[in-house]
Amino acid sequence: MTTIHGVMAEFGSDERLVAALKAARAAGWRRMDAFAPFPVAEAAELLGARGNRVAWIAITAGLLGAGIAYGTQWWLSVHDYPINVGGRPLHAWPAFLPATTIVAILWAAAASLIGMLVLNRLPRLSHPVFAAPGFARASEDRFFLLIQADDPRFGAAAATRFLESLQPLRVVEVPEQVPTPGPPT
Amino acid sequence: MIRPAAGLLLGIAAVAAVVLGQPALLEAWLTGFLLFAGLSAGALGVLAVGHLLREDWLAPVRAPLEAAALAMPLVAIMALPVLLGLDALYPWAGPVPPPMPEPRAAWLSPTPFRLRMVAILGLWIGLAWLLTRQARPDRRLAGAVLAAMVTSVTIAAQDWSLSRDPGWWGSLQGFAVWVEGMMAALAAAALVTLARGRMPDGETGPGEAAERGLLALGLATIWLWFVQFITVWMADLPAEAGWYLRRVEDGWGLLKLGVAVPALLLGLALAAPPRHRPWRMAAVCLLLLAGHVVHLWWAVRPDAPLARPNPLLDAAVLGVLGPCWAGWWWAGMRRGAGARGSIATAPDPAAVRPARGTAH
Repeated sequence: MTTIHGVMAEFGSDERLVAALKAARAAGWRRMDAFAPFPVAEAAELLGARGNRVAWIAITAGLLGAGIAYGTQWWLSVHDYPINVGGRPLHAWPAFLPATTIVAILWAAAASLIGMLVLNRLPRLSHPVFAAPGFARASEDRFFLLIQADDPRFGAAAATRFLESLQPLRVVEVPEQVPTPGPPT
Repeated sequence: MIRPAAGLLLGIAAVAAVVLGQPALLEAWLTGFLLFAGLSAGALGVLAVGHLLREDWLAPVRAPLEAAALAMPLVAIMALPVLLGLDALYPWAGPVPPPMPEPRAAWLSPTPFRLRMVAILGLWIGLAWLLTRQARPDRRLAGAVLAAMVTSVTIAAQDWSLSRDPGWWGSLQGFAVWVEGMMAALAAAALVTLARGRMPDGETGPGEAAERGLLALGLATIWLWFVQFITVWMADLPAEAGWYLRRVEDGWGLLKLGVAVPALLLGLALAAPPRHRPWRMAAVCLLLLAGHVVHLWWAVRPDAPLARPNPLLDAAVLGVLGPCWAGWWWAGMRRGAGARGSIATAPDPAAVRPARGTAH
């Protein structure tokens, strides 16, 4: 027996996808995903996808990087190897600032990339939706709306019925695991 | 009708300032002149950059920027008391000039200074006219205007604003003054566009791009001024350090570190998050503008050779120069809107056409 990952509907345009998403939200579906060949800002908003978490990761990492860079320079110049340079103070904050800024930017940039990948659970070699027939056109000219099986009110039949009411090009059930040909039992 | 009135009023005020000839009055006049000259030259710079890079954000702020650049003739009238009152404003033009190397003394002497000032203002009037004449200026023209502006503004800022300490001399200083002026011009133009309700919404739209532009110019400003400071701090030479020491005394340090720098940093922090919102963008523009005005004051005033005017006199002079400039600018806004069918609302043809002429 195969468990179901969700039920997916295929649409011909981004307007249809957004309209379907709105209808699905109005009908009470919560756990959904959408796939499109180009960014559809409105769909992302309806799905509740926000970049905020990446921003917070970037800010935290940037501040941490800045603190470490400044702290390292301070520790090296004041404690580890103090040198008197023309009577300037050992704690030479103006001279510490450029390196601090650059390291903060490096950490923030690296953390945004890594944070984005981790939040999206990437890299990932396979995903159940790849098995849906015709899904390859999600990167060409088709728009897909998936109602996930982890939605609290999910039922395969109800989800299929609902999606079919939106007049999509087709509706398919997406199995959790790609069926692989195995030895006969 | 507004333009002749503004020009006449300003001309009378300029002649009065020259006739009265009090150092304090001229000093206050210089600060106001530098503020409005910086806005007009900065607007011309932003226009040249926007046309050269075919930027989407230029469309909503274009009308106020063009009107500000076209206020250049009024700036030339404003320059009159500076041209004629040199000896009260610049130590090298006074009776006892400070010691300078021979080439610099020749460069910083009254007649060459006046010739440069007239030539530069004439050049800017011409460039502003050239760049605002067509609906879609040629990119080569925008590039040529930008090149001419970089050199002329660097010379102008060094001459008019920084030469009051002849030791404060370098290739970066004038450029930093101009980048700050561009930041202020874009902030003022964005503020006007917001107030008229014409700043487009949307995460990837021109409004968002304009806020990125403000952020970039603000960061460039803070970086360019910091680079000067760290160079002086590292070199630790008396003449250069003195420029900063004079700006720490008498509350100037408080003004810079307590007002100008925090305003700039707060503006940048507010501009950084994505998804621009009108109120937040307005706050960014106001903070950047306030930081700019205070910073200009901080950079110019402590080197006053003869008299430091009462802040009330500063306010009074600004009360004359400001409305004249604003009147001229407003007339330009209305003329621009009439001549080109409301460019503020109509989308820039460059932004709509699919092939954007970037192929060549």
